[in-house]
Amino acid sequence: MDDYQFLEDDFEFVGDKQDINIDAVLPSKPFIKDVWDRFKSNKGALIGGILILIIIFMAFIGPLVVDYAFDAVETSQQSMAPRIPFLENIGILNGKGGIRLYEGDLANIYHFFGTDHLGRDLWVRVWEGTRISLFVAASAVLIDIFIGMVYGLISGFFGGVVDNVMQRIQEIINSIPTLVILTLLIIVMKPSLYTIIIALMITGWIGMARITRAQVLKIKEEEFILASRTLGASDFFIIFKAILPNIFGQLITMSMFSIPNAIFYEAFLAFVGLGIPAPQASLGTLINDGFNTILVTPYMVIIPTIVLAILMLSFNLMADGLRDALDPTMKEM
Amino acid sequence: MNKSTIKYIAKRVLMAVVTLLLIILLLFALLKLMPGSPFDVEKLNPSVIAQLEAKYGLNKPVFEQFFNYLKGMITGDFGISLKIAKGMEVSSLVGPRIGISFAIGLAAAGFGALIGVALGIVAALHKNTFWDTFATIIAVIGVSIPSFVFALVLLLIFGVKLNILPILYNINDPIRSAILPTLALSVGAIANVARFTRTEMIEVMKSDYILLAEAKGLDRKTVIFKHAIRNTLIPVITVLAPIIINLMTGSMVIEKICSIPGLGSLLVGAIQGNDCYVVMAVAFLYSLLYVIMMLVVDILYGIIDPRIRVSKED
Amino acid sequence: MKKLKAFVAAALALTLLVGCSGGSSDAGSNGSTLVIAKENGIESVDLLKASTGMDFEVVNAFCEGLTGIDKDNKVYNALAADYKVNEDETVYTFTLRDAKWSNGDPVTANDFVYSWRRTAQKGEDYQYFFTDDMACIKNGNDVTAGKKKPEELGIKAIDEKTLEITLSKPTPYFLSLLAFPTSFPMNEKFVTGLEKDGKKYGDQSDMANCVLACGPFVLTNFVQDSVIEFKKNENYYDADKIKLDGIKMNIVKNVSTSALDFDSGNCDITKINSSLVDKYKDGKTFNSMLEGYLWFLQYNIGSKGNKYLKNANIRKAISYAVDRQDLVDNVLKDGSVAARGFMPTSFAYDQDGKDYCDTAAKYMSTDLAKAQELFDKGLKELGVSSINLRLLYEKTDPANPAAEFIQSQLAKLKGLSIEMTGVDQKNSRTQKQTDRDFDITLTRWGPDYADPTTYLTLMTKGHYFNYGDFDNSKYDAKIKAINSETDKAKRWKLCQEAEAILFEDDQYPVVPLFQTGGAILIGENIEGLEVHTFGTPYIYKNVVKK
Repeated sequence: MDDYQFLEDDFEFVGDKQDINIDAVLPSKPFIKDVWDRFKSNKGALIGGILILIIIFMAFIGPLVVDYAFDAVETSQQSMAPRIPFLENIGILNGKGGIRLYEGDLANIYHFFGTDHLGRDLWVRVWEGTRISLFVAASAVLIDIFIGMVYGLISGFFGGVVDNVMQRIQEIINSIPTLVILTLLIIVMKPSLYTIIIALMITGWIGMARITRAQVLKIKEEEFILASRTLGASDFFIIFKAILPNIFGQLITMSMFSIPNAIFYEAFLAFVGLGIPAPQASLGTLINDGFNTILVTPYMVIIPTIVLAILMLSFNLMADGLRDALDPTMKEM
Repeated sequence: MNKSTIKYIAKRVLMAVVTLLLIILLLFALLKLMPGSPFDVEKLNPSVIAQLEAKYGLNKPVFEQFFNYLKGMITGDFGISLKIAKGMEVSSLVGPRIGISFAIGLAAAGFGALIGVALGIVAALHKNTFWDTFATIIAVIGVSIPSFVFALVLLLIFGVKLNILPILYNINDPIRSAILPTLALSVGAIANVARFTRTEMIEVMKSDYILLAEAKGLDRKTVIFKHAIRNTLIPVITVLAPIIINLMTGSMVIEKICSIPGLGSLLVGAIQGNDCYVVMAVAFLYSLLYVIMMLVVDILYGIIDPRIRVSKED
Repeated sequence: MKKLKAFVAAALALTLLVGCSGGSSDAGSNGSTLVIAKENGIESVDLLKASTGMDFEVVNAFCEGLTGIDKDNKVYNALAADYKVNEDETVYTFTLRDAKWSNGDPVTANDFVYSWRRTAQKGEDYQYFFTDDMACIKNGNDVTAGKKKPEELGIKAIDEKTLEITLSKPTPYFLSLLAFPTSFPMNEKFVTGLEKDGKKYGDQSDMANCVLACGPFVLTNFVQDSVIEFKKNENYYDADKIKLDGIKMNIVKNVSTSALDFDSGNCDITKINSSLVDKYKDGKTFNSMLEGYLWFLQYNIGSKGNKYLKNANIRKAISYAVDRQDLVDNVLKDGSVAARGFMPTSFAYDQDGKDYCDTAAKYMSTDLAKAQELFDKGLKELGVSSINLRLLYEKTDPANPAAEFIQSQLAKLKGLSIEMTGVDQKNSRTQKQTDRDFDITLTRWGPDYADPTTYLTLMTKGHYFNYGDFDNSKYDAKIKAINSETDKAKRWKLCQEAEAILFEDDQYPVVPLFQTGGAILIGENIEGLEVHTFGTPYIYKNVVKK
């Protein structure tokens, strides 16, 4: 054996696993920084986050950079195709194909996203609509999280009679078709932004509550809760210090998924005639209005749909990244 | 099946019945709050409306109406339509539509679940690779293009440009004419199921028993098919249940676009026409389906995963 | 795993099955069956309950009345072979032609008597057909109100083929009303026979066996919200002139879908909406028809009304601010025409055959500067600097685009802001109107018969449809005078005078906007579609498919 010669490839590099083990003894970082570092390292999530920021920025700044009002009807400029400076020179978005053309008096104007059937500038309307949609969705989801989390936590943690009663109430509310609830609500109340938020909230919290409860049920059987209880922790302490942080990741993820869903649901409400009152618009009402003319001027539905799709993709990517960053169980190996 | 299982099931069934009763009460109350009557068409004067309300018993106290309705319901009498098909029994309106909506919905749900699960599993197994991104993009496109846009594009391509499939639903040719609406309906289901499956699958692949299976030296194929997928599918059932119900009860949007005489279009018409007994009947049917579906899922879950049953019985 | 395999196998099998059944597509628009896409299904074909345009279209396809209205809006004899009228035009005696029901029974005078009594007694929406608001049948008011027995209604069968109808007062448009579906006959034996079997006339679960035809077509198939099919009625008295083998009406609620269906060649006639007009307007298949509905803004100015709208200058300013021509040319684009006054065109003609609107003054015009001037004057009188008004409208075509356009036009008036109250259906709008829960409403009225009074009576004090509670004794007196005037020329002049009162400087209770058009795609091989501004909107019996 003595004369055995080690060759260069006799040993393999074992990989990162060793390093992570060493990581455990590194000085601990604050939780937020930890999360941020992990989030940063996920490229998809970062791109998603940046896109969301850009869209939010555009939603506020977009309408200001052009000289059109969101409700200015100008029938002489109706249904004009999108036309963007510079891009038009390379043959795309050059304003061709609309009903009214960029000719004569209109030769030197630009509608970046074109105009709708009443001649209102869609660039302004799309960004205004994005803002309204985001506002509606974010408010609805925030309220959802609050109600759903409290409901789910109580129901899941205490179990027994409390759980049973709360589950039945939830089931009953959930068993009535959403459309029926919404229609009745909106007929009883005045159609407005806030009615739609309330309508979205009424149906949305149940999902949150269910996720929370399921997570609580799962977690409360785990050993660390048992340990906590054995050490004499109160219910309050266990809920807020032991369970909540563990389901927080799920909730954040869920809400990130819920925001685009809420935007989408708002679009559905618009389809059944319960949208934002005219002349204001949301992405949903824009898509629906555009849908009526899809066979004639498809850009009217394509543009808001693309904005919606980008929003949803970004929220999804960011949700994934956030979950990975927030959820301690992901720190495996 | 042991005693505790039977007791559990009995308890759940009883609960479901109570739930349904409460739903009927709630629905009735909500409908009575609805302003307007089915008769206020443009050319009807108030005295005639009063006559008509008397004729159909709508002027009686709400409680009396409710009990009359409940009594009728037990004997299968769901009242008559006051607007959308004047004078027709509601049951004769709803009956033929159930089959149409159920068939299309089940087909869409089945197709959507199959593709969605496959997509989700592929994405999970190739996490953070091209396949994952691809599946995510497909899923996002599926969710963010409204189904009505998708449906119309399908109609345009297959119905007009290629001219190989009919545009309108035809009751005499239910399979061919249902292909496009089924596809359009399944898009949302694919996206939702794929997302959920992916998440679950990733979770499962990280669990201890998969680690154990791998440690035992099982090959990847066996690990995935025998251990991982099975355990992924159990929670997928929970998201599938509401999807199936949603699809079976008929998509209002797709039914309108593809001109399908199903439950969804009936409900929309009834709500818009203030046709209270039709709304009641369809809404009740929805609720009934939902409660039954949830009951089945719960019982199945209780049997598959005894922890849930035990925790409920404490 | 086995189960999964079985599932996949089943799914594959299903796919194959679907693929195989490919050959069995049905005939589409082959042959000379007319295929039509309709936006709404029927509510009922029972004359008691039939009330929508679609109901009447279907009823008119398989049934006819004593008279009919041809493509030039002239009255002709249908089931009546001939008629006589007494000196003071209150008693009409009809002789029936030898027509048959589709079961072989002859159409008799008693069929009319039965149908009329039944509807007058139990009818719903169009019970008022028999009252003095419409056909003025003797005792019509009392019978419909339940004060008299149906036997006392002014209709009786002299013998099998002779029918006598007595009116409460001379009614110049009476003969045209006999083409209105509510006046059609019903076979008593058939209807009571059905009821004995526990069925209803026009039962929608078995329609083909629950209706009887005496018109050009026989109903053969009915699926609610899906399809209605007819074939030619060989027993029809004028069967030789019917060129179609049948009609198939597909119920397609989405207009884009029906346009696609038309493009795919499976459909002969479909209506489209304003947004699709641009796609088809230069093609040969595009047609625009004038329909009867007049859309107008009505102000709520009664005791529950809006205090600002009680100022006539404000009301007038709004009227001057709306550019109607822009609205119909660029927004609606479906052949709608700008309103001249409170009366649509092409439905009421005087004894010389001249259109009412050609002889009456033009009241509506647009002048933004004048509108602002009037508005400022109004604000000054009211002592405020700006006002906010609610605009009630329904979110359906054409009200939705029209309302959005009006809002933008009114926004040009400085000091006025409009709050849009859109409701998703007609019922909600009429309900809000009845409750006086509006400031301005965008509402409509479709004529039931070819006479100006169908519009003019709307504005009389206490009328159910006077939603704005307009109250003008001079106007009411004029309407009274019209009703008692027997000289046709004088009566016509009174009508125009009444309309003039509405648009005196201090009045303006309504702002007429436009008369609806219908943009219709008609296959190039189709001819002879008849469109009417009142009664049954579309009649198919003279359609030829080449």
